[in-house]
Amino acid sequence: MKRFLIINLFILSLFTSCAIPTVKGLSEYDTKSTDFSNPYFANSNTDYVYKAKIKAYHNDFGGILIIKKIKENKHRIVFTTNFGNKIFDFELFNNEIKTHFIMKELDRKIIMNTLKRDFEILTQEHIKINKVFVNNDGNMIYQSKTRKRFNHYLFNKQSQQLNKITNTTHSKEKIIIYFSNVKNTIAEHIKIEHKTAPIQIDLTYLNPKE
Amino acid sequence: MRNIYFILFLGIGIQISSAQKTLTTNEINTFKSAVAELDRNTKTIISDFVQYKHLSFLSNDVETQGKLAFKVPSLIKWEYTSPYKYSVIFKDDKLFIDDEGDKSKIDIGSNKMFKGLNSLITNSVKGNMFDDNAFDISYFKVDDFYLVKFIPKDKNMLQFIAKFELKFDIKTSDVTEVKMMEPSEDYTKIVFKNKTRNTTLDEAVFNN
Repeated sequence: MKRFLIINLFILSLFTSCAIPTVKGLSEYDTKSTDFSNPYFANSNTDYVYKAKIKAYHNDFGGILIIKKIKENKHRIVFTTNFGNKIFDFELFNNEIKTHFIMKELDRKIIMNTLKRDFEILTQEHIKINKVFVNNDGNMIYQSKTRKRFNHYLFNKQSQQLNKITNTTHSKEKIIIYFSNVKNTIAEHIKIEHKTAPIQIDLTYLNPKE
Repeated sequence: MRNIYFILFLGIGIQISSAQKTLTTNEINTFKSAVAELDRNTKTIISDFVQYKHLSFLSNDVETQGKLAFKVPSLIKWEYTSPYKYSVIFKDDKLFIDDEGDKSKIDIGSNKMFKGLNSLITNSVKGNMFDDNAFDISYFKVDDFYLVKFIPKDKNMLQFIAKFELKFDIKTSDVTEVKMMEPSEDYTKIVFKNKTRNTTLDEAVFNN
C-alpha cells in the first residue's frame, strides 16, 4: 500500500511539474480552426514606430524600435538610439534571422537568440494552432507549438482583440507580451516581460500624425 | 551593453542633389577662419531642431523634434519634445538622462572613445571640427551653402558611421544641418532652426 502511494505521488508530481501554468486546469475547447492570426504587425503599408524603454540586467536603455512587414512572413526590425544611431537591424523570415547590423558589444549568441525569440513571438502573423482552451472569463487561448516551447495567444472575447502572448516551456512561463490601447489593429502600448531573466521592454507607438 | 547608450548624436550633415563645386585651398582657409572666429566669439547657442531618421525600407522618415542648448566650454543639453520627451545633458564627463521622468546618469570619464564622441557632438553643434587627424575632410560649395564631408579614420567609429556631413550657411558660417550616413546608406539628418548665439542662458538649464 505504501509503495502504491509513493508511486502515485511520484506520478502526480510528474504530471504537475509538466503542466503548463498558462493553461493549467482549463478545459480544452473543441474547435475545427487550425489557424490564428496576430494582426499587430501584419500591414505591409504601415511603418510601426515605437518609443522603447528597455530594462535589462539593471541597465536602462531608451530608443526607437521600428518594425516593418516587408512581405509575407518577413519583418524588418531596427532598434536605434533616440539620436538615430542603429543598435541592431535584422530581418526575420520563416524563423530565420538575417542580421544587417548589430553593435559589436551586442553581437553575442545569447543576446541574438533572445532578440530573435522575442521578435519572432511579437511579429509572427500566421500561427498553426495546436490546441484551444477557454479560460474562466470565457476568453479563448490558442496554443501553438514551436521548437521546444509553446505560445499561448489570449484572445479577448468581448473586445475581439489579442491581449497577450505567453511563451512557455512544458512547465514554465518564459516570456509574456501584453498588448493594450489597440486602435485600428495597432497596439499602442506593448510590454514584453521575461519571467526568468531581468528583462522588460515597454513600447509606446509614435503616431506619425502627432 | 551599456555602451550602446553612448553612441549618441553622431548625426550630422546634409543631403544634396545640386552640383557641388570643390573649394580651392584659399577658399577652404577663408571658410575655416570664419568658422573659427564665430566659435571664438560664441558663449552660448540655443536652437530648435528637427531630426529625420531615414531607413530605406520605411514609407516615411521617422521625425522627432526638440531643442538644444550649449554653453562654453562644453555644456550641452539635447532635448526631444515631440512626439515624446527625452533629454540628455553632457556635463563633467557624465551624461544625465531624463526619459519621460525616468532619470539616470552615465559616467563617460574613463572611456576614451566616448570622450571623443562627446567632443564630436560639442564641435558639430559649433561647427568648428576640422580635425585632419580624425577625419578625411573635403569641402564643397553647393548653391548658397558650404558642404563639408568628414570620413572618420577611427575603425570603431566606422562600424556605424561611413561619413558625416555638415552644411554651413555661406553668409553666417553657421551649421544649419548635420547628417550621418551609415555604411548601409541609411542616415540621420538634423536640421537646426531658429539658431541663436550668445543669448543669456541660465546654468540651471543644464541641471537634470
